[in-house]
Amino acid sequence: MGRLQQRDVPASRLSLSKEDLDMLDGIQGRAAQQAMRIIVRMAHVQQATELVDISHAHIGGSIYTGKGSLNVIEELVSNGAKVRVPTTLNAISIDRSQTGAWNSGNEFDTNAGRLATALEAMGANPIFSCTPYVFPKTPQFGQNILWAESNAIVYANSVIGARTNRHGDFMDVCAALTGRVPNSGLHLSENRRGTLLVNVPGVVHADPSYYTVLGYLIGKHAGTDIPVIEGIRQKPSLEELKTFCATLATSGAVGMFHMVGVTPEAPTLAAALGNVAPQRRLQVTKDQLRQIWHELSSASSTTLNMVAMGSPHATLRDLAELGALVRGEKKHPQVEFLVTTSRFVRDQAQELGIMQDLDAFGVRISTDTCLCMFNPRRVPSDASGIMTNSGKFAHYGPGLTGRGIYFGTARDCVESAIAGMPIISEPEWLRS
Amino acid sequence: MGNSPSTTVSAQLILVPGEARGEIAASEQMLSFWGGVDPSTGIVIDRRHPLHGVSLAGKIVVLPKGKGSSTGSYVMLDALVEGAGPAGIVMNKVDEIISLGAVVYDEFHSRTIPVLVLNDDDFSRALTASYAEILADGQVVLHG
Repeated sequence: MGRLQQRDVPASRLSLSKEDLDMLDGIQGRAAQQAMRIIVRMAHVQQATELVDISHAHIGGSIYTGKGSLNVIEELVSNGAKVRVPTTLNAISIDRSQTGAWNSGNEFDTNAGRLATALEAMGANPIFSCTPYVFPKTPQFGQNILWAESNAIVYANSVIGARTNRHGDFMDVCAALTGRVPNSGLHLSENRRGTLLVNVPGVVHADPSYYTVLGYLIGKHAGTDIPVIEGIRQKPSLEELKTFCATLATSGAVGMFHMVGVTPEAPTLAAALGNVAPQRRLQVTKDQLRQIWHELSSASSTTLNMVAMGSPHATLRDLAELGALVRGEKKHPQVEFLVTTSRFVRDQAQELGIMQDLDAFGVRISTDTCLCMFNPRRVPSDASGIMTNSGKFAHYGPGLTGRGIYFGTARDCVESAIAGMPIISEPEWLRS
Repeated sequence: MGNSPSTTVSAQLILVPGEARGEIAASEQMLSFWGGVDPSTGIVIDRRHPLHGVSLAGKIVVLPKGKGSSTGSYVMLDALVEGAGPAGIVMNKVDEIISLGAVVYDEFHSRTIPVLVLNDDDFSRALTASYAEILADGQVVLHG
């Protein structure tokens, strides 16, 4: 028990199981000990009094940022790190399926590959995707999990009804290696009720761009509150919920929302609010939505050199809808048309013949990685105009690429790619 | 303000214990380390942040809390390992992502930077100070 008495593991208020203590003592090996020490210290930071078991982990720490973090992950592997619960890996910083701008062999890309290899060596399933919820064996309602990647966290808590907090990278790895997390925040029922009531205006012809804009707007106002969205008339698709989760967590620090009549913990408004009056209210207007729609575009170039889609990763339905939009057309030769997804989804699209339409148009599919891994080296040097249908990439893209980004619907992206210039029209839900 | 006397305040919470001293880099705006700080230099690269262009290396960084990407923990650790990280961090709210970078630095490199939370009044004082010493017991001596 010597370790426990060290000044830097303040375990006094934390009750630990026999297995937890064994791990702290190094009985389960050096890596499990290192991981458990970090879990215990972070339980102190969160003022938790106990740890809980998790049934699944999704590791977001597969993004390469520098040698300091890579060395820690490799050290854990050399100390015998093995995951204790089913674990999946988020998108990585390179596309291992090809060579070129996204896998160039330079030091950064080589180290990014080393990080992925180290995490695989721990026994994590290399799905390399930011949408773990489209894969088989997703977590179930009520289960405690640790999912990283902001859109996946919101999706897990809100749409699935599994329970996870927003953690820093490293916590995901430590949780996978120990199967334990501090019992705090969104793991506790009393912290999952809605606190911000959001009334949305009735719109017709809602599409993914509506949910992109709505999520971005609510995220801006929500801070760390849990929004309860009331007034959605038609049940949104998985793809609409995906983009909604992504922008909620992009403009704000939202970890969970309720959508009355849609999400599992919100059968009624009263249930979503936990029978308590909301602390704050937000009445969304069409003018606010219109303002966000325009605000998401940050570019001014009159030509278009690149379209980037797939943040979060394109689903099979995203690809099928894109296939239908591009059928029989050809993109302008100056435009690179990039879509990021997982190998899992790409292979399904291949089997269903969707890839033929995409190939014929000139779409380039990149797997393993995603648009969040852009850096200026990955943008064609002459590219001035970039366009996306992703609110998340519209937000982060300027910082990642050093260029302004146009935001439009998937249809706008296709029409612009054919014309070689940005063509954006307000969507029907905004006009009607 | 140069010859104003020093003030000593006590941390409301010690998230990561340690000792540090240095010039203060302060902002009332939250900061995401991923996409917001260059880990090789410690310079703030978020163009929308008031500290844009300022180096956090060796500074006592005063921020209400972090925000944004969970990858901030990696970036914090990378900066610390490169010698470009803050000397200490003073916040107004608990922030796990920032704390975690400091905890991992301690666990894997046996080097600590203190991460503290101050109450509202003391945090306001820290925002306007120019130099700080953080003591092991969580006291913060603010100068200027």
